[in-house]
Amino acid sequence: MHPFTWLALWLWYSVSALFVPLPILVGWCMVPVVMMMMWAAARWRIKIVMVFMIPMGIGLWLVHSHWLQSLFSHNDNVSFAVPMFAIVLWLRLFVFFAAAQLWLQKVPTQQFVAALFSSRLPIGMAYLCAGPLLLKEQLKQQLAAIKEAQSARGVSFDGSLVQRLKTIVPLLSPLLMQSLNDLTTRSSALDARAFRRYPHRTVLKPISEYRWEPFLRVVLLCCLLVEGGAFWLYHSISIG
Amino acid sequence: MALSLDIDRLMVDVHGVYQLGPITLKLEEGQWLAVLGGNGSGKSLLARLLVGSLEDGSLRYIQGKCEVLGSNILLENEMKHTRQRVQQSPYLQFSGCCFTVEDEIAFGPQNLALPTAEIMSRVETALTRFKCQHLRLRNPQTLSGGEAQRVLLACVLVMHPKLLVLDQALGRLSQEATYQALDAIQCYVEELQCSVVMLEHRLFPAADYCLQRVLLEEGRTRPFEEILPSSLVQQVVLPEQLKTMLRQETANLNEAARVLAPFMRGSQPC
Repeated sequence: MHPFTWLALWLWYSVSALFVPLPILVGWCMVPVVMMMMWAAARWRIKIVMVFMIPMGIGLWLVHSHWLQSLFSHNDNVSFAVPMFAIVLWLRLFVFFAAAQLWLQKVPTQQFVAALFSSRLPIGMAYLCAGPLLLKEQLKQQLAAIKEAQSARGVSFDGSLVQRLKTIVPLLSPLLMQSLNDLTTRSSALDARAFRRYPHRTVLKPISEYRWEPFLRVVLLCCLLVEGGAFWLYHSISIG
Repeated sequence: MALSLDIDRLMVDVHGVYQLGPITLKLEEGQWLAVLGGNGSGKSLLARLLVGSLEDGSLRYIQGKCEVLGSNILLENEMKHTRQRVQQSPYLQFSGCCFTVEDEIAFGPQNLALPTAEIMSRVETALTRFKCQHLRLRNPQTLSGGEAQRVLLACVLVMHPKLLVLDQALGRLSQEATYQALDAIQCYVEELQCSVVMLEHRLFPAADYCLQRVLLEEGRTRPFEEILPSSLVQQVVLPEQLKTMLRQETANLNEAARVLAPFMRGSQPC
């Protein structure tokens, strides 16, 4: 399937999580996890989901259960009811993140960037959308160079967790400055390669798609509109 | 033959901190010019001025004439694909959105909306000439310095420029690879009547390809013939043996052709 179809599926599944009630939401967020467990190639992503979502869950619980408030205010009248709002929010974010991991596994960055560049989007817009996905390799290389340079100046990247945390500043500050400085060179290089000179560019490797895929994308987006509308209407009537 | 570069007593103040000039450069179509100079002599600034990549409003106090490919670049300071510059750090000049060398080389011609067959033909020629066929499917960001520089030269020359500015662009290549790359550029020069400006701090290999040479010293150009050997030795990296010979045998560089001859590499057929 075309990367945009997978993207539309992810969008539909994730945004729908905003509209489903709590009992269904629990099952809704289990689906991507079960799929990741069943799909051997994607199994390693479960760890990423857990590493990201568990600390977030703890943070939300601490804030919304008023535990932190009681700790700092010495107020005995604080209520410790189960923070349903935080649980629902966490489950919704879980759906977004876990489904995104599935999408990333299914659509490699290379394929998605190719799809963006061969789409009808203006090339500048396509580059802008692809930008965050393209940063990884470039930052990795810059980081390796900075690490080497800082090692030569005596900064140690080994040792305990505290020592390694201390090295974040000598790594991140040059990385940020260098990235900003490189922007001019990068934009000049793109200009020299006639980037955005013409409204259309030749597509060498068009991404193929089934004939029904554009229809499916439209249906999914319409479903979202219908779900959102129904949700809004239901709440308006309930409040009314 | 038409002039690619027609710069006469040009004086510019860049960013209000660095003054370039007076600069006089004349270069005909399909010719090579070496601009030699040490660190801080203004080579990269001159290179950026020639291709129009200096930021808008950075040029002040302008005097003289500056025509590049027939247009006054002081009035039309914009990047054009007919003027290409290759600098020392190749990775920054990659598009950043291609995952194979083949796609990276095709990126520019694709932007020019050329027909697919034409793009493929240009890419194949560039890959062959710069000996990058085996790198075809590699990610440009994972290439070694020398490989990246060869790929970048291929990326630039598939645009079929009329002016190529090499700003110490071959520093990461071995001596053999440097000459191979320059031979490949020579093929393009003959085919496209492209002019080449080499900005270098080393006399060789620039002297092997460029019949015209000037010295850039604190932003000022001086014809090679007027330079005293002692001045050249201070500014430009030379082979040790040549340094000794220049100090002993010549009073000025009018006689240098004789001294340089034994160090020159014979021209290679395209």
